[in-house]
Amino acid sequence: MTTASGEGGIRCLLVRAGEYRCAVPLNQVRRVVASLATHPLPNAAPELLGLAEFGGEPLPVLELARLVGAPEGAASPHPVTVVAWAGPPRERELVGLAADQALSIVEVPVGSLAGGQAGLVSGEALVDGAPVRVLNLEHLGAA
Amino acid sequence: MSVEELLVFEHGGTSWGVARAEVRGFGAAGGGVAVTLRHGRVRADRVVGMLPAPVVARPGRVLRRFWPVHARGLAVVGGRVVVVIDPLAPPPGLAPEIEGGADA
Repeated sequence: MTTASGEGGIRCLLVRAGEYRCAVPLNQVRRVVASLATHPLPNAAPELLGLAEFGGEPLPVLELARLVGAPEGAASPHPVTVVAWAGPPRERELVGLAADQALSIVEVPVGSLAGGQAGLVSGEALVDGAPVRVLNLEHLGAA
Repeated sequence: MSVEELLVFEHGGTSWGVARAEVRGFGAAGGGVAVTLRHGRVRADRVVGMLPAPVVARPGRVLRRFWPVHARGLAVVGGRVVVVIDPLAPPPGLAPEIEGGADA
């Protein structure tokens, strides 16, 4: 996984998605904006909220809580869209991840990652004593 | 850079577009609009109009993964996101349910 790592850590944007906290590596984050309005697409997978306009370009927006299988959490007064790079580095593309709240920037110690997987969730770590799902958006979009 | 012109229409809360050169006409049909293309018809709730689309981008891998519907591309036209259809293979959701409708 390509990391935005410092000394053995991955600098990440921490967001809340449903009842989960998820860490998106900072090197995969382009921008965080107030929740973008989306236009639905018929017959889309439930994770796909629809298309939004960002910077004059169409942007597919996915519901992060559904992507990671998070139970529904409390409604947030400040939902956000994380505009992020997804896919392998040479084929990366921008996507929007709808999240309930942007929390903070954290450093996830690489050594603390448990349950390493090759999928969207690359593992879990404890941050401030609470579990965090660490994402790797390079795998988003893979069949 | 050549700017393509699209007929933009709405259906099911989504904005769709089809290349102007493919459009033969459109008219009222069953409370909506039937758009007649060179090779068939699609249905619309409302026609927005003919609008220039400077860039039509191919759908990316992520979109195709979560929306496995064939489309020619995506464009932002007049501030709205438009799905540009392949006139030879429009999405099933645009298939006309009601025959009829006069060409404009």
